[in-house]
Amino acid sequence: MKNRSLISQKKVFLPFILLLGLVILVTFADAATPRHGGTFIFAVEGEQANLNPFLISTSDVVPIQVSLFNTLLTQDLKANFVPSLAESYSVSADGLTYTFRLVKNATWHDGKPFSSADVVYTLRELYPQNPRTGSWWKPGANVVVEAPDSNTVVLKLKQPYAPLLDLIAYPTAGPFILPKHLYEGTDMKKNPYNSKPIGTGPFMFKEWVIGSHIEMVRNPNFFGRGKEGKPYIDRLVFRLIPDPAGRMLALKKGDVDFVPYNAVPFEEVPELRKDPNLVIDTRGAGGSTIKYLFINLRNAPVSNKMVRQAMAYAIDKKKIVDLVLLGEGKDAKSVVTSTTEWAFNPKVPAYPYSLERANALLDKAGYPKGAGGIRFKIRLSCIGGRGSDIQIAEVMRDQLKQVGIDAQIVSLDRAAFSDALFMRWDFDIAIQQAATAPDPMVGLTRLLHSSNIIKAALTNTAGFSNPEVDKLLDEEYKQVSREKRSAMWYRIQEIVMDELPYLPIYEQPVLNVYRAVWADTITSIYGHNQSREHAYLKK
Amino acid sequence: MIKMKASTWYIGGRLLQAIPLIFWVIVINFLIIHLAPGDPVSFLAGEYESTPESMEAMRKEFGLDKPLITQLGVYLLKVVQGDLGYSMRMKKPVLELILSRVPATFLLMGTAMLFSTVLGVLLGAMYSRRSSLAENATTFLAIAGYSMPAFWLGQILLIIFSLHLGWFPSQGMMSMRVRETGLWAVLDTLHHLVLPALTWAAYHVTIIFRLTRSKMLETLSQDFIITARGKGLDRRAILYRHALPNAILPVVTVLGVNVGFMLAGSVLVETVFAWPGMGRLMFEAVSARDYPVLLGLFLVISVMVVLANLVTDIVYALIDPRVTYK
Repeated sequence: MKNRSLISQKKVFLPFILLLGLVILVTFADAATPRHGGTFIFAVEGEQANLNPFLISTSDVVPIQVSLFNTLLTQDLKANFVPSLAESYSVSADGLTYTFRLVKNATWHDGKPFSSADVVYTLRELYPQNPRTGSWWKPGANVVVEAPDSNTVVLKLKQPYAPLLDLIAYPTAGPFILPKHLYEGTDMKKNPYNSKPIGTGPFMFKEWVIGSHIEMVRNPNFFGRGKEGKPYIDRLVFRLIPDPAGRMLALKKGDVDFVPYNAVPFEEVPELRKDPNLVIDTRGAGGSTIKYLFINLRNAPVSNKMVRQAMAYAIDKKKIVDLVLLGEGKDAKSVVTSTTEWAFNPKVPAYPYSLERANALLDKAGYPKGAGGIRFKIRLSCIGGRGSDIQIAEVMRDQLKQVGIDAQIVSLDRAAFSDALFMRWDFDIAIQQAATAPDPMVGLTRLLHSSNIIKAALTNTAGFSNPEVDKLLDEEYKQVSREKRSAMWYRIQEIVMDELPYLPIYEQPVLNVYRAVWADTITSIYGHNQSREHAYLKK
Repeated sequence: MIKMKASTWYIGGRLLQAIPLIFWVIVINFLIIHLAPGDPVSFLAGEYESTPESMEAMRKEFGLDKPLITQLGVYLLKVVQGDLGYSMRMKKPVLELILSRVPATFLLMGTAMLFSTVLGVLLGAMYSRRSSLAENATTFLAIAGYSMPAFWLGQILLIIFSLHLGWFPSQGMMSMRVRETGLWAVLDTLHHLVLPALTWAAYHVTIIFRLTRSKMLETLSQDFIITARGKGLDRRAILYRHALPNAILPVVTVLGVNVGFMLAGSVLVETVFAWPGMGRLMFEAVSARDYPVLLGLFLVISVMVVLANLVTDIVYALIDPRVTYK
């Protein structure tokens, strides 16, 4: 109906518009205008069980999901919230009411119109089923989701929740809106559309050849098409390449267009930089991750704070960055990433590399050097097959040996490591990573709050319990003012960096690699996890 | 007719004998797999933040909360009924997953085997003269082929023939940039097949070559060859008509045994070339501790090995007049 009225209006102006178009075309003919066409091939490491964002949101599947589905908002390269399914939003002064005005031209890939009913259904019924959603989203209890009309959605919170917009926009485990007409009345876990999704996104699902690839085609009716008719890419293919060397080879040869940073081996980077056909893009680091040394506070001698601080002095982080990352990274100063500027505290207790201080602290802690200069033995656990973790462990072992700590490397595969670390707490120190994104509240509260000392993945595995930190964590996310939150996070970092339940080693560098024929491949802090609706082939 | 019947009985008997063998294969594999630290739940949960409740629910869903012996019993009962269970990671029936990967592996393995056998036998027959040059070349090739790991050779071939010369595609089974159809799709797949098949064949060529050559040398020194020479037959006739059929028998035995080795080697070759076959499935299942898929694969592979050995024996009977089955 709406379309018809638009067309009839346009009919009157059609000749005029055509003429104008011609003039513009002639005038700007040689300006760089994005052109349509091409196949974009994205390399993924592993196979997926399905594509439902509430059932699976591992690092491999999010780039696929963002191409098919949309969240209400998204973020640009400066972390500003920009429209997606919501063309605008407003937040009440008390931080309790969020109003989203939805776009009017969105349709599902099967042709059915998109409306606020889909959003309400997804947020009430589907999103809470995601195990990653956690306790912050309990529709009916701490949040009420309403749709006053077909283009408006209102969220009413019981108490302010500072990271709300970040979570609403976040592509990893975030609330992608799913079609109500295909999910209502079904068991979400068994819905056939989990494997042949219908979304609102820039690309439409075409086929999935298990073990080989997932193929999508351009959505000509994409609501975000704009004047240019986005997306520009005709075909988007996610190709499965399990071997890291194979991915790099396919990229250099031109069989693949994009390899996400978590799938790029560091030792390849210097070589890749020399290749004029490739771009190494360090933008899109919004979801950046810190590589840590997790410390088990239950086990002596690392239960002793002086021993932990001594280790911090003995470990030369810069050297690890140089040797393992070949200089492509930054040593981490705190548990909040420096890219999260508002919360990162640059003045936390620092541990500049110093063997003297380390030795002095260890002597003071009551662990004198014994036979062969050894003070004590501990286990250093790591995942043997995950990127450079084993190399970090090897460098660290040598560094700790300098101060008389004999660290024995226990290299496990991922399943065995997760089991030892998270389920059995059977480790002394371990190489593990954790993200601050999308908000420190989401990434760090799990690691730091004493109520999270539970046997589950990515929880307070160290066994860290500090009443002041608990209290700050309980209060900070209810603050409407970012200044207040910032001050509270500064204090949390001071305590944590003094106590050292987790010793940050480096901030994982983000080095997405793609073929230089593509432009506008990265336009958001989500980096590899954003959709490719803006990407186009350069002339 | 009587001979046919005898062989039918023989085949039936051999298949029956395989049943206890496969039973023990299942039991032993089941126990070994469960002995490895970590389970599918800790793998799945390690991917993201989980709660003890959600993990307990997952264990229950997979039946991992029951004692090991009960799990084994349940599994065996299902297998007898032809049900290989459900993949914990992929959430799909195991049999369907495995069968979807069989064609790719068979295509690759069949090509590699055919190529390596023909080439190995031909080379073995051609270089069956005693000369120091042939001797040295044999030893060198045999050691090289035997000791080159498939993943290394595969990458070297990729770097030379795919990246630098650009003759072959780098990964997978079909082109993604442009999707071919009809005959072009077949040719496209054959194009993709060359490098992985060569990699896989390299090792087996050397085995077959060495074996054929040593058997040829042995045969050529036997009385009937000397007689043939004495009769004045030409060298080629002696070599290919008299010596080769006798020397080739052990090669047939090795082929049967090789099926097992080749399936095991498929993990490496298929991973290096992103070939969507059973080996890749196994690699992924091991790292995810996807018990049902692993057990299903072991089962399917043991059945294949048993069948391959049976076929070997039958072929033996056909080509060796001295062997009969009673």
